[in-house]
Amino acid sequence: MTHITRAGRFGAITLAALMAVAACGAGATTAPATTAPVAVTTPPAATGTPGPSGTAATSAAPVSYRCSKGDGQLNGAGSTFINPLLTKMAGDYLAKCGVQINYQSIGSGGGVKAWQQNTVDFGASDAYLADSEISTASANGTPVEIPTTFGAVVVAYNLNGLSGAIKMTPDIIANIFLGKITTWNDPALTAANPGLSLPGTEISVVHRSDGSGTTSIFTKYLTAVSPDWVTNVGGGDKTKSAGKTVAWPVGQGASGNEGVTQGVKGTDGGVGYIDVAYAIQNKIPFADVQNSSGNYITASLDSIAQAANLPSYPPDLRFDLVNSASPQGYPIAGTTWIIVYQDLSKVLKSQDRANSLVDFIWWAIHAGQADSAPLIYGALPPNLVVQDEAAVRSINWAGTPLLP
Amino acid sequence: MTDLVGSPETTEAVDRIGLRRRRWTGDLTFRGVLAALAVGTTLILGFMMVGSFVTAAPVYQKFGIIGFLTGTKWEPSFTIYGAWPFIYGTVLTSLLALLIAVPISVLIALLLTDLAPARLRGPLGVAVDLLAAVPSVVYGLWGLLVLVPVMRPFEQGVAGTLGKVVPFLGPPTPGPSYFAAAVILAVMTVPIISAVTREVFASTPRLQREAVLALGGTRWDVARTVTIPIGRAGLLAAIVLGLGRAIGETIAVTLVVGNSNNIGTSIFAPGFTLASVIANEFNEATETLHPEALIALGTVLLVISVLVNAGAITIRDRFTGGLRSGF
Repeated sequence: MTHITRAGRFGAITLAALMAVAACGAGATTAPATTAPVAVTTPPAATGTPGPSGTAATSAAPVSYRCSKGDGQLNGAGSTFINPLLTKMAGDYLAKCGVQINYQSIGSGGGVKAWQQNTVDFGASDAYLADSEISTASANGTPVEIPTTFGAVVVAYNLNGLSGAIKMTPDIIANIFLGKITTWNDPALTAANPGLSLPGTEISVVHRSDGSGTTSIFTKYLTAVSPDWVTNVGGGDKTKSAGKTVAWPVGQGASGNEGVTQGVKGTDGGVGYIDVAYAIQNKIPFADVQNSSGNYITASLDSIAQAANLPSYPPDLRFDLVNSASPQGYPIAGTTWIIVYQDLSKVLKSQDRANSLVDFIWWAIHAGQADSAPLIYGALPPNLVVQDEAAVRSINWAGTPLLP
Repeated sequence: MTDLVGSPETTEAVDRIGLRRRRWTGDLTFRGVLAALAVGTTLILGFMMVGSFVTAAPVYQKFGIIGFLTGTKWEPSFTIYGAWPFIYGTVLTSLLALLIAVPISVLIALLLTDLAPARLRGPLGVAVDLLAAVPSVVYGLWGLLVLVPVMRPFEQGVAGTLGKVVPFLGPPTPGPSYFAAAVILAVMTVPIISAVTREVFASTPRLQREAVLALGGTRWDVARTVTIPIGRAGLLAAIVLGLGRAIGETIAVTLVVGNSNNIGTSIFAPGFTLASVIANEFNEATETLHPEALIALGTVLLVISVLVNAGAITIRDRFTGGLRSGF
């Protein structure tokens, strides 16, 4: 429960920050004349200085959302990880604004591909775009990547008759997935878990067989903590040892978080990496992971928030959270981005639709964040919301900003 | 009959009711439609072959056709694509499946034609046929949730004993494996093979069978000396038909084969088949040449399927001669 309380506090701070910024942006630009005037509620007059993007702002006022109807629906595709959250958000947004969000949970790789081929209005990915993916999409313009939520990847296991969480160091995790640790009573494991009597069961590794943002977060973590992993899986190349698909040296593949969960649950001695929400929903135990400060951390809303709260974020919002420097941060954490084109006039049929798209994203990074904690997603910290707002404001229609 | 056809009276009668003209135009239309359908079907196959070959051409250019087929590594992040792990998986699982399914199917067919009491044959036959109607995803889920956990102790037992001598039967034994896929495929091919075989066995000459019985032979003697030898061609065709099903099966195999790009040294190791790797990776194929390589795998699968079916036709023609085998 403390986790939820904490996230709630985040939400409150987030809302305050948004109000100030929304107010401050109101006078900066004029809405294009063709904008559909559906339920336009102008943010209240700002007391702060109007600016092109959210900077320092002091006033707090009730927040309102424009709710452009557009075509009454928007299509998105991608990350299976964000699917439960986006589904909840879609229901809330439909109730609030009457716009249906159709989200296809096909995996981050598929979502990026669909977005590149312009078959969806937005993509969602657990990995930020690689430079090659940006150049593939360049015919349609520059992408805007908007961090929308945070999550954690846990090392879930199934050991009959074992109670209590297993502790794992980065080396242990890397060696299990490299096939160098093959039994549960390996000396490294027993040394890290002095209180537990681990059985000699054979370890059965389960990994994702489809391209996946979850894999991307997990392999980025292994790449960050284990030179052995980089050598054996990437041939020394860090761009090859981390990604949505890698050359797994051991184990069986299974499709989706559901598939890996089933693979682990169905096998005594099974171990796999899954999103924390799936592990908790399926009541499957997962390991406490030693972070860079030497503390063993259980994945939770709190420890995800600790890992996600960076002092500053890069301007293009492409950042990794793995191997957090925060003493209480969970080290295998990641971000899900909503990805859209910056100039929507090149890809969407009408400006009305573009308006409804930016309005949804605007809502998702503000009020929509309230949906995250109950579903065990980390909400956006205030300083990131400010940067997200600047990113959403940069979305335009042939040069004209879409947000008022 | 022959006197009537072409006789002046008949011709006159046919003319009178306008039958000739109708038959003539009707025949022409019918022939035209059939020809278009036949040509169309062939063209579709041709388009698929050519289309997939052209799309996948960059892969063949980079690795060479032989290099692609025999390449043992499939590592999209390194732009390395070799089809061998999947060809191996497809062939291994299909042959293992036949090894299990054929004896069972033949016994079922014999049971239903010769051995079972007459009043049981109908219901039993329907029950076996119904197995063919179960959707493959149901087989896959049943395999993953029920069969694999049940078989794992057996696999571990074999790997721990025989496997110490024969690496092909050794560890690892995670559960999902070539062997698990083969068992599921066997369950799926049994109804096909047994249905065809049953028809073939049922059409063997009753006189010969009764002759064996009259000479004091047992029902097994009937099966051994009459039913199986005479039905051999049909049996072979049924096996090839089952093989065709096993090679192309996708979703059920994907769920239980273990989905690993590495070539498993043991039949209990996880692996991949051509169809299941395509199903698994195509949605997410964003790496360089990855979609093209998967399409190339599709071409390989298509070619294997065509070869298997051509084999079935050849076998049928060679063994049947002029005789109708019921297939």
